[in-house]
Amino acid sequence: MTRFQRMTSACRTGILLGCGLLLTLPVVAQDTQPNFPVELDKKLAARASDVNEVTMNKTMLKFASQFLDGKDKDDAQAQRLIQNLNAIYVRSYEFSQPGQYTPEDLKTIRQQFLGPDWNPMVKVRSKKGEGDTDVYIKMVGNEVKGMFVLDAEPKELDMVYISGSIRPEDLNELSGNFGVPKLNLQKSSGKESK
Amino acid sequence: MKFQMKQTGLVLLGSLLLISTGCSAADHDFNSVVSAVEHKYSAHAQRIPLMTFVSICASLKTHGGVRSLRVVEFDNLRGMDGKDLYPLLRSRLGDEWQPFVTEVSGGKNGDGDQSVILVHPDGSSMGMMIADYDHGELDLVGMEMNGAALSKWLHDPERQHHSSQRGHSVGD
Repeated sequence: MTRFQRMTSACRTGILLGCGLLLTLPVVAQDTQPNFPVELDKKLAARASDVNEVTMNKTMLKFASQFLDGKDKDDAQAQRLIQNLNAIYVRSYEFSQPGQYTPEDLKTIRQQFLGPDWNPMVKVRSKKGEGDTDVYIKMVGNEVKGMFVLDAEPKELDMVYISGSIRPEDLNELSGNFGVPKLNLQKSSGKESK
Repeated sequence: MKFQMKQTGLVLLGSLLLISTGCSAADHDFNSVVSAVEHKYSAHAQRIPLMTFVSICASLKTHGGVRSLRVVEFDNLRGMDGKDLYPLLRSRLGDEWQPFVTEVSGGKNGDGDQSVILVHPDGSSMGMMIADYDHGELDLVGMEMNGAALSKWLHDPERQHHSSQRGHSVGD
């Protein structure tokens, strides 16, 4: 093989390798910077009287975790938890009166989490229409790679989407922190859980 | 003696110039938003006097944790709806600025008050822009935070010891 042929071959390999890397970049980016999965959020925001949205991607989570005290037991646990997360999205809508969102809206949201990866984990239904709660987990292999919480009350709708490796019991650690509202999945009075 | 004083003065002036040069680069986006509001609503921004001095003090106090602190206030913004705030910020700031918190109160039937926090992660530091619109009044706050320095300052045992001592004396 001549020197020119070797150079041509090396260039071709380099170009192919570069193209391959470029092709994988969007996949990597998609994995680390996921979007909020619920497509109905804009419509709900338009109907709500009060809207609260908190978005924390991996960079922001990493930055926020610096303020936790690694010497404190709880903070250290939260730090470990954050390291495995890609993003936290919180969407909270308050309505001036009941009926501003419909059962069809809830159905549309829930249907988005009926894919092959998503599994319903908690389903709380109120008998008197006081509020329903759903928790879905995204399983990839044997690992939990995401979690979605939907809490629907007559005049309030809360959605929390956590992307990354998280255990269901870790929700307690995040509850009340990083914009995640206090989640009370044990509220059972007057409700039946499946 | 006179030469030494002159030298110290020059060093101080140089330091201030360096700080202000750094600020101007970091504050470009902030100033862009301020001028956009001024032009769109024919309003005049009220700047806090001695804010640069306050910013330097904040930087020194937090060991560089908070820098480039800027505060601007608009009163009686005519024709502005809270819902205009977020699109305005997005149009003036680049894609590197990401929404962190968006809060709208009043909604479609109310007066549309809105608070927006946008952040710009840049290596170990993070730019932060806070915009709060409430009943015709708009407050804009810009700052740059260094995570490591701020964390060090927050978890400084000496500072915590002093603050707990102050807490006790207040309690007593």
